Formats: sequence, C-alpha cells, structure tokens
Amino acid sequence: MFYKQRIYPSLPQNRKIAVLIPGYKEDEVILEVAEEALGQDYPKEFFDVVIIADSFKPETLEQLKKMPVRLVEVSFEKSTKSKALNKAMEVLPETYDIAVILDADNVMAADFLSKINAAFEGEFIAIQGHRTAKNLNTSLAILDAVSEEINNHVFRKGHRVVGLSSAIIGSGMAFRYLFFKQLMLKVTAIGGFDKEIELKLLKDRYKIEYLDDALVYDEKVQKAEVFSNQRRRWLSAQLHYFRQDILQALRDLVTRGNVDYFDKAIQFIQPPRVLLLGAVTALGGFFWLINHLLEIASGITYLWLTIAILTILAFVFAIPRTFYNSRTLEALISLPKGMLLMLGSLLKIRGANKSFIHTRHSSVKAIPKHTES
Amino acid sequence: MSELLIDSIVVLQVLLLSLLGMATLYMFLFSFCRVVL
Repeated sequence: MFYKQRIYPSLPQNRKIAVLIPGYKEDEVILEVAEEALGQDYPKEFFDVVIIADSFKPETLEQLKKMPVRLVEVSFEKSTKSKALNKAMEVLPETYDIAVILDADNVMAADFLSKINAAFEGEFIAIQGHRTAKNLNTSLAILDAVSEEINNHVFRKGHRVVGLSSAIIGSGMAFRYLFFKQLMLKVTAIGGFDKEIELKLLKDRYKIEYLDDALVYDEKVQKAEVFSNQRRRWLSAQLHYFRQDILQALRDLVTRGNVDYFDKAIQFIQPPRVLLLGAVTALGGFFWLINHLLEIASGITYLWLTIAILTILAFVFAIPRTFYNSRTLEALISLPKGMLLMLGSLLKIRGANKSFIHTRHSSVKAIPKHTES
Repeated sequence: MSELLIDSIVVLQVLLLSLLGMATLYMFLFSFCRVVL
C-alpha cells in the first residue's frame, strides 16, 4: 500500500512523446528553452518538442523554424494555456503515446523523458514530475523554491506514501496522449486548467503518480509584484474549485468512498503554508499575552503552543536538507514580506481566475542541483 | 462587562484554534507520514 520511489523497468518500450510547450510572448526565453528541451537522453525519433507560440515576435518565429522542433502558431482574442494546448493537439497527429506539458521557462533534466516513459509501463494515465527551482538568486526566489519543495513533500510525496493521488502542478506533468486530448476538450477554465483536469481525474477515480527523481527546473519568481499576481491567480482558482466541488466530493466520499476527490476539495481551502506559519505564530504569541494579562485558563494557551510546535515540525520535516544553509537563513529575513504579499493576494483574489494573468519569465539557465528530502 | 469580554476572547480563540488546528494537522500528518513511512 505504501508508496516507495518507483524502480524503473530496465528495458521499457519506447513510447512516442510530444513535449508541449505553450508560450505567450515568451520571446526572451523560448529559444533557449527549445534548445534545452532537445537535449534529452531519450531516442530522438521517439519525441518531438512542440512550441505553441502565442503572440511571438516574427524574428523569434523565424529562429524557431530553423530548429528541429514542431512550431504551432496560435492566436486568440483572450489567450489561455488550455486553448493553446487544445489548438496544438488539434493539428498534431494522433501518433503520440504520451503528452508532456511544460511551462515556457521549464528545463527538463536530461533523463526526464526516459523516466516518464519507463513509469508509463505501469497502469497510470497521469504522472507528475518533480518540479524544482532553477534559480536561487534572490531571497524571494529562495523562499519560493522552499515553498515548492514543501508542497512537493506534503501534497505529492506525503500523499503517495499513504496511497492517495499526487497533486499536479500545471507543468512538468505527463499524460497518456489521447486521454489528455479528450480530457482537455472539456476544459472551460481561464486560469487554473490543471485544477480542473485534476478534479475530473480524481472524480473518475484515476490515480496520479509522482516521480521524485524526474526533475524539471522551473523559474522561481524574483519580483514581489510577479509573486503577488501569480499567487492571486492560484488562490482564486482554488477557491473557485472548492466552492464548485465540495458538495459533490462529500457525496462521493460517502456513497462511493472516493477519498482522493474529497481530499482534493479540502486541499483547495488549505491556507497557504507561509500564511499558516505566520498566523499560528503571530496569533499564538498575541493570545498568549492576552491570556496571561486577563488570567484566562492556561489550557487554551497550551493549545496555541501545540499547534505552533506542530506547524514548525511540519516545516522542518518538509524542507529538504539542501536548504538548511546560510543563504536560506538570509532569505528568512524576507519571510514577513512574503507573508504580507500572500495576505495581500488572499484579500484581492476576487475574479483573478476570470482573466488571463500572465507570469513573464526572464531566465533559463538551470542551476544543476539535486534536491533531496 | 469584563466577563463578556473574556468569554468573547475565549470563543474567538476556540474558533481560530479550530480553523488553524485543522490546517496544521493536515500539513503535519502528511509531512510526518512521508518521513516515517
């Protein structure tokens, strides 16, 4: 029952893989990303890098046409990632076995496709790779990277270990191609399409696998404004899907024993981890003082202490050892700023998933490292 | 008046503890499971 990191079959069948990279005005990074994506140790005849170009400059398109990639040009009145993916799959042949979805700044480790291919020897139809930080050049980027690893620990490894599905992230993920094509046709989301397909999968009782050693490097945000917008979009999508699915999820839990679907709905109203830490410590401290001054029963103060300890322990368990260093300690100075940004995002989420909020990417080069936990 | 104030503060704390406590337990349990299993 318990999850262990997958041991790959030594001689898996080579499946044909489409690496789908949708990009919106990503002229700055797309050429390097395409170049990096081609550098896989997987046989070249078994994978295609597909750049889905939305609103790229003509000179970028010319450069891309000279590369051994498939280029699909798309244009929409209101652009979304799901529209771009659907349009691309409409024109691509159906000869692929696997669709890998990347963001326009993602760089796969050289063995990523080999591992994904081997993992599809099993019965899974959806697999999430290990998305990890590419850049650790600012305090905010370090905090973002730590946050991603905490989420990998809690929502992916922690879930698989007890037999529940891994959460998917929207990039660095792979699906059986025709299944994904059919699934995407039903997507209506403007922001957070990954949440929508995740709910559909779990509702239909498909299990989502997680590969801890299949790495995809992802750019971490460096600017407060980008961080705030990105979080606002994510939180808004989560709240929307919680409202939409909680009753159905509860019904399915009771009548069909569908724990995965219910767990996903509950995940959507979990407060952001950094806010939880901030709230527990700040409110705990505040009420400890108030209880002491007003001589309120000490039992309630001990409860604050207990949840503060549990929260800190959860963070200690979830943060990979590679982050226990002086740079992270320096970055912790920015933690209150990160908490305030999250709080600000939480207060301004209304309608953020109704419009397309684009996260602009600016750097590609990966920092070769391996994260462990 | 002061009793009402104290009761209100206790109720507020119980409410906050319930909400934050559930979120903490969720995160702690999955973190812990991953470490021990």
